Amino acid sequence: MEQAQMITIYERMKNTIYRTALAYCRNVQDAEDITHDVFLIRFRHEEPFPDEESEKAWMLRVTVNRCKNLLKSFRRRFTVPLEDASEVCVTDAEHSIWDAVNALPAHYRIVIHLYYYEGYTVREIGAITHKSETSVQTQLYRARKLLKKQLGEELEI
Amino acid sequence: MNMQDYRHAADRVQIAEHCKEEVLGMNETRTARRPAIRIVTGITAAAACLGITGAFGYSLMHMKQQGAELSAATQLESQIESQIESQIEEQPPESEAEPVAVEADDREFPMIDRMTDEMRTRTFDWGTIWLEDITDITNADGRFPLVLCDVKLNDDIDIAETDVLSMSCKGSMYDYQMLHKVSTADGTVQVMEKTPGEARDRLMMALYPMPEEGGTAVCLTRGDDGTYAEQPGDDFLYKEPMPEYLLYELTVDRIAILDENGNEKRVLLDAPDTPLFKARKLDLEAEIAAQEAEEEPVEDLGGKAETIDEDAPAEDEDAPWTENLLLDEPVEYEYDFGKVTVEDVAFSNQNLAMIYSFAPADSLKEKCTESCMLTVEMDAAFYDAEGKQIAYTQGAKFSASCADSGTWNYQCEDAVYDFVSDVHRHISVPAGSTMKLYVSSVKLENTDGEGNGDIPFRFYENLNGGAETTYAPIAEVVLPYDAP
Repeated sequence: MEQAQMITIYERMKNTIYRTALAYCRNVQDAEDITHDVFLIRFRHEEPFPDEESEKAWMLRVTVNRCKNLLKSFRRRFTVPLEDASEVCVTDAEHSIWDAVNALPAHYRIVIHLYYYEGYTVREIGAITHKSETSVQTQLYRARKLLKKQLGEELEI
Repeated sequence: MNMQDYRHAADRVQIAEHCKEEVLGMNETRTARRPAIRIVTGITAAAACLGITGAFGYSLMHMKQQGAELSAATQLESQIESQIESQIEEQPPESEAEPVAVEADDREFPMIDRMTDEMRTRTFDWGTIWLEDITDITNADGRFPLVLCDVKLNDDIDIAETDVLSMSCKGSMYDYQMLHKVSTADGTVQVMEKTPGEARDRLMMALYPMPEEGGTAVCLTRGDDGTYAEQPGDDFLYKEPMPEYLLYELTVDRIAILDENGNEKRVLLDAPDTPLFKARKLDLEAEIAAQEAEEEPVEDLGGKAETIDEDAPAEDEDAPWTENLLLDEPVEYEYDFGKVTVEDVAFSNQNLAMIYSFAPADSLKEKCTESCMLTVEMDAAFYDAEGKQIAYTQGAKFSASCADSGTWNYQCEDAVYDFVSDVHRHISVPAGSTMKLYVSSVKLENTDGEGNGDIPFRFYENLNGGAETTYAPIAEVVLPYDAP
């Protein structure tokens, strides 16, 4: 792949991949490593994509897979993140909801991120995370329930 | 506050500039961004209890000292400190640091049945506390660990027959990943021995699994007749099956002698969060080894990229079962509120698993809003060759958000219970038994996100267990195999 094309893909997708990895892994170092791996995989993927949306969905699938592998790895379980990204929050509301989302279990965090931030439908999230629509619906429901329990009546969701 | 706040925060998340150079340079050997030391959660918590800060946990991992005394840990502090400091000052290597395997530290969480008398004893100037055992109890909610401690006061402690020794403590359980923690309610010990100055009694604390968010569990206290009664806690937040708990920690807050009116006569110990005992029931090293054996290897991009199936799904814990299916073809039944289609049914482990869908009638669709959840509950009843009911399920149900209208798809499982005996227990159903499948209920719930909303639309409700019903079973199947 030509360098120029790589740069274009990187600039277009870098934060999407990074934010998703960060939502899943909750720490900057792992998110950067995942992002690095995803782009290496992308650059070696020779089959063209029909459009940018398909490319994005494919890369997000790879991201989720890599995140799952990382979180399941034995050593990863016995470590704590040394750095997180909560400094991006400005208002108290942002802090509260950022912390609440990051406190969710990984599989709930990712559906919340893909649904509310990336704007994917339940069906599309199912395709990215390799889960049935029902599973995604349930995870969204339970995630909302946990967020409401955490944040109380202040949260409109 | 709403999800827009989350979006605003996430919008500001930007990947660091140095990543661009690494990625676009196709640099597979990443400059190690992680410091040379990673803090280990479990050891950090344990080290904190020993008076050693978390930063020393990494080196603590490497120092596996069998049966080290608690007091000896302080002697290690300066040694550990110098080791850690030298590691922190080291420059990270150009190549990624080789991860170090975590080893179980017997000193931090010794196995209960291998603990020496010294490890089980905590001595104070007023007496001792002895960790007798960690055992299991079983009740309707499941199986939980029970921590047994004996308390003995010194002879010079003035205690009357009517006095009560009160010990406020917390028990915590952890899985070996240190991800799940349980708290208990206060425990109170009743002085039983009649001889003044000699008191020994047993405190039993049942540790119920709950998430870290809170709730209290149950403490068993000993009554005058020597039996133990349960003091219920409140608000068990979750009663779902929880992972195996291996690590147990007993922490004391306050120990005092109370008079017969409950007034404090003497405070023996006032030390919030003082750790007393840490133990584990299972062989942690064996568990870790077993987990490692099951682990997927971390992919090595170098030289193997072409063999990686990047698009392949990672392990999907929700993947439906595909074996031992019972229905030859989907069955459906149309009610006035909608149509239920059962795609298939099978036994999965010891549960009856079902995949079914529900297509609402137009009249129901009108009532479905984004804040609603639609629950469809299925039941199965099992009959022997003579038509006598032998087993039932207790209502397998699944709820789905109404946000995406259309056909709702469900898959769920439920255990099969003995219908004949009074004991609520699982039962196997032999081949040749007849299974009748019912739609037990269809409910539309208004929820406020709490899941406790009212149920304004209860379209159909049947008694479970194959009792009298207005509707016929949706399916009848003769089991071709012994259900586990």
